[in-house]
Amino acid sequence: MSDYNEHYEEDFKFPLWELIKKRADTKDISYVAAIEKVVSEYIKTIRYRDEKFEKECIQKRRKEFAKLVNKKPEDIWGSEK
Amino acid sequence: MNLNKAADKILETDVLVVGGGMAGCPAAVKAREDGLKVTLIEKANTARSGSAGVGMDHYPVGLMDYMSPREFLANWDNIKRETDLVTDWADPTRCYRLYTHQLWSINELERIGVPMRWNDGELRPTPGHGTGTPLLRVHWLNVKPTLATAMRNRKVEVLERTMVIDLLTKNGAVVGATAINTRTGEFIVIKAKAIIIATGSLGRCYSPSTPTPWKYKFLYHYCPASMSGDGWAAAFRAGVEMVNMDYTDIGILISDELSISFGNLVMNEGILPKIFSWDGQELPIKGMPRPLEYAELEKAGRDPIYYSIEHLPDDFQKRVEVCMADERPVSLKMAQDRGFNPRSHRYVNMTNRPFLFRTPAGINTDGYFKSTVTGLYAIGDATNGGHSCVNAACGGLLVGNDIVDFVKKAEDTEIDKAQVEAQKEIALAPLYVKDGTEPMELECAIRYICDRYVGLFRSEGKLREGMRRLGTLKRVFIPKLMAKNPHYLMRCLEVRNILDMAEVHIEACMERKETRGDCLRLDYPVKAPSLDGKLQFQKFENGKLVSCMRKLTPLNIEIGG
Repeated sequence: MSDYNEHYEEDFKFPLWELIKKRADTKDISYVAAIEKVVSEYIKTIRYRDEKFEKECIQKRRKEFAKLVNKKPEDIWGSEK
Repeated sequence: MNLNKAADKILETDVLVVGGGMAGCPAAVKAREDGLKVTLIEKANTARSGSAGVGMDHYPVGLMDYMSPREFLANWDNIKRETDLVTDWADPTRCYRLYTHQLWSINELERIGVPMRWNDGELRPTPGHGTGTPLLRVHWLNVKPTLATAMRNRKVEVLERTMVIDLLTKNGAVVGATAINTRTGEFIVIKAKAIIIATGSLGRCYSPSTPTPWKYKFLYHYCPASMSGDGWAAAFRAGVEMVNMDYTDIGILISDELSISFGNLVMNEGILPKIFSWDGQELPIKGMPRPLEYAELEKAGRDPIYYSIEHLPDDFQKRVEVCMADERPVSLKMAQDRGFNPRSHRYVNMTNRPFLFRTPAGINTDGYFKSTVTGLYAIGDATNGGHSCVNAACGGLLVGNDIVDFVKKAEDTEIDKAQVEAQKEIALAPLYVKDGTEPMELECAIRYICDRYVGLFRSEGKLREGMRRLGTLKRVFIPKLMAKNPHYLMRCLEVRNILDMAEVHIEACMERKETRGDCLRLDYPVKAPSLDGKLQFQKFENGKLVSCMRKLTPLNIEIGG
């Protein structure tokens, strides 16, 4: 037998999906109906408007990629405005 | 013949919109707001049909943030000559109008009830697209129900579960259409002063993404299973010109039935994914490999390739989850049910083949979305360059606005009853066939021909053989199609459309005797300089499929700003 099943985890859970399921079950409503409320709360737990943080994360990966292709980040993406 | 006897229902309207997706609904709303009588027919249920039926996580506003529309158009000829693309933008006027109205479209959508802003009341562009199209992140899981409500509130007449059969014409202009209710079998004649085709493009002449278990056998990652080219085929049979019909697209086709929301896997809100060969070597590919890149990997024995977002920090992992909840939440459920954790597992991509027509292909329209047949317009994926939700919605709103003038000047025209009778006979014929061909049998045969004889790497011999085989299918099996009920009748009509468009597709592939962009000819492996700046067109004229190549339309608008 191949190691195909090792590709998956037995007990993996998306935090967001768990919240959606819980609300749908508790309120006896559809997943779609649950998503609207749950997502609007969930996004409050995510750093969305932190531009400095976003830029750092993006630049870090760009540097990694540029190294992989032996170029400077600005040669690939140009200078940031 | 009496028209009342031929039709179960006769409707009269100013504007008939065919297709209730991201282009059709805004067009219908806008035309209705302008005081026109509007009828929209939708093959499925408007509240959840079309590409946006599963929700949408992005609205890609803007052209390129390093080039204004004015600069873009000033460089129009150079861009088209130098680029490897087969011109997404056949008409620079339309292109310019779309790009300069995208911000307007945000306001218009908000006004009709579509949420554009986040909880804090602000729009939210995603970061990190230095030289790409900026995306506006939107929570649009319910964008289609919202648009359906907007139409209902404005008293647009919506005929759900109704499929267009063919268009009715007189003296080179459209005067209406025939349609069928796919539940009741009711045969409907709709008299209209103008018609807007908004049925998307075509995906079903190629096999779906993955050979999946039966209940997912229609799984297409990028297009809904409803995309059988109905609007294209009806318009083509009515005499419109099609453009770039050799251009099929590839995409990230993820196995294990794990779908994604469009905005997350490659974009990841600005963080590049990592791409690995099967043996774990990271590949120097930015975004998605193009066909030739993938073919090289395949030749070297390095595929399948794997997309990874394991490196994304926690906040971005959560953002990806939210993207999936906004667009295709079923993918969250399916991934969890399978134990697929994107923080530690990789998405496998092992295909390199066409699977749908996309941006450059479609009905040829001018800067005002008018086709070559008077009174017939096309928007969204149905027309060249109207692609993506932003151009679909923006184009729909523009046409809904522009069409008033045409309708006011349009003369009342009689419908040709013989034309109605002929269309009815063709459409209903499968109901009377016993022991014939199932529509899915024929559809699979067409897919096989397109997969095997067209594919990505094309050559004259294969294309000719594919065309010959399609001809045989048409001659032998179309008359044998059988339908046990109106639903199956819809399938028969779909397969007729798929077959007609597959023929146009192969004709277009044969016509392009060069390799350009992703249109790859093994027997003509280089670009033909004589075809720079030219597009190819197909048209049904005097019972024949006619092709030609000609130059891009010049800009026909005063550039402001």
